[in-house]
Amino acid sequence: MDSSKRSSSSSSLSSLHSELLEEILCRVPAEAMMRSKPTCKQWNDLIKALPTNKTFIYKHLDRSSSDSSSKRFIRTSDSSVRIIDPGTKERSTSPMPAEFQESNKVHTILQCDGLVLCIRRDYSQISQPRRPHIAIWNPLLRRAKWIDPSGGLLPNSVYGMGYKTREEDGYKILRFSNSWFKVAEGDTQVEVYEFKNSSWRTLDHVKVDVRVDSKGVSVMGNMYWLTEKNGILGFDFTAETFKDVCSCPPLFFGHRRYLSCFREDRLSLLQQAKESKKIEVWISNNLADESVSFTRYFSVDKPGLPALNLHESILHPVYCFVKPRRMFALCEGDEGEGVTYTTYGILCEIDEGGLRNQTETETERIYGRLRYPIFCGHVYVPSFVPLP
Amino acid sequence: MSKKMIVLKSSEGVSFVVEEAVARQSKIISFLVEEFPDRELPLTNMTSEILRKTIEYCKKHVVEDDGGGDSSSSSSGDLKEWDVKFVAEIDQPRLMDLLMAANYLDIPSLLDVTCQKVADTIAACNDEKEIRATFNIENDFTEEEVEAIRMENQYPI
Repeated sequence: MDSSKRSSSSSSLSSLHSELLEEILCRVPAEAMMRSKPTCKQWNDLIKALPTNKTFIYKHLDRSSSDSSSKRFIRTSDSSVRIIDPGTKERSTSPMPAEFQESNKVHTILQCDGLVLCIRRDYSQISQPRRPHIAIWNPLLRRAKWIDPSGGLLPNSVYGMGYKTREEDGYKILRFSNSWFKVAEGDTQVEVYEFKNSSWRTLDHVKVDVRVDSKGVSVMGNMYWLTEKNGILGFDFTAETFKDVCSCPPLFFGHRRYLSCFREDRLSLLQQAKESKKIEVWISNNLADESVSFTRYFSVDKPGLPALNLHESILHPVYCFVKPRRMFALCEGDEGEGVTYTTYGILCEIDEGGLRNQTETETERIYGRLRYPIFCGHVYVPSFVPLP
Repeated sequence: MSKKMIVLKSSEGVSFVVEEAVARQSKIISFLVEEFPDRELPLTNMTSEILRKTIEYCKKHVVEDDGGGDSSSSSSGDLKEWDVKFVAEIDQPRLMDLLMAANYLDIPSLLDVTCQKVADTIAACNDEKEIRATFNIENDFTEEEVEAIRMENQYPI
């Protein structure tokens, strides 16, 4: 602070020292930061260097995770990725990463810290045991890589992702068998992949004795699934054990329910009635608390509500709350028959008074047989976390 | 109940008489008044305009100690609203000066609101041209270089 006599535009953005500039940039949404790269050389160098600055990456991520306006809907189809900001309705489309072009049938399954875990849809473990079938992808940085398979035969694999400490110990992938059929005595049931040393490891003494809904949620480094016994099963990546987290509120319509992340540290549970389209959402307390339970957060029963999930056996509703008790949902559907179909996406804004707003986000024509799932949607927080 | 006052002096030599509790929101001033009581503090790198703004902010944010415990919690929403209005009324160059002042005087909450406002302004720009215009940054890239960076954003290098 040596310049004492500058009066008007004295301090300029490009003259700030890096610490102060980082303080500003960690509050800028990730996409806006990427967009701003061509501003000037200093600016571009700074942003290009971010993926090596772990302190900045996690400062930015923690801010984004706790800010509901950072939530995005990510929707992937065979060839493209669409990212939608539900609050501003801004959307961007880009091609699927080159790594996925060859397989062309990649299915995203969950996200953890802006990293998306993907699975090859056309994969057969029996005929191609050595072919990589899972991949990790950062859609913001446009990087993806396949992960070598373990070779272990786990019927009906369920996957999870998390960490003990994300910086030192690094990210891990969990894989376990969730079959109706009993795995033979002595067979592997649960294994963990560590990015740190690129290898799979069997958890010998860990068993899963309950069936779960395969779509799990990663929250604060641990995994959560709905069980067939109407409870929540958790996997703690620190202790490397499963635990019964809590039981769920009773089903109110007898239909399916869907688990998601609420804010950065809790779970939400959504149900929608098939006929009336009534929606109810329950929210847990902080998952780090001693005991976890759900309380009702949102309920709407008005005419004209959209079906949040058209193909309920395969897809999950994609929704979040950007404002208190105001839900944004990405609804999908398709029309057509024979060889031509049109798929469409509609962004709906719903509060307890009913449907408030809807915007068509895309339509896509598909030739040939309609396959499910033709797209995958998730709630996602863009981050600068590099591929582990 | 007379309140303890201190004097802050701007770069133009203008003196501002401020309640000590107000000024103590700056960790630097808080330290200085303990070390050098009864002295006026010269802030040679702050203009009167920016110092006035900083004091205005600190006056609004001073925690009232005199009873009425519940009044502070109920007003936290109002305070946030006030902050938003406060930074919205300042033009870009002065906002940067205020941000520097908050950093220099070590006033964390003022640093937070000013950084957030600058961040929001960057986020609201549709492209790099708008950022350059808003923040008065000179373009040192050629058209080709800008195009290359855009491509980098599209596909992995």
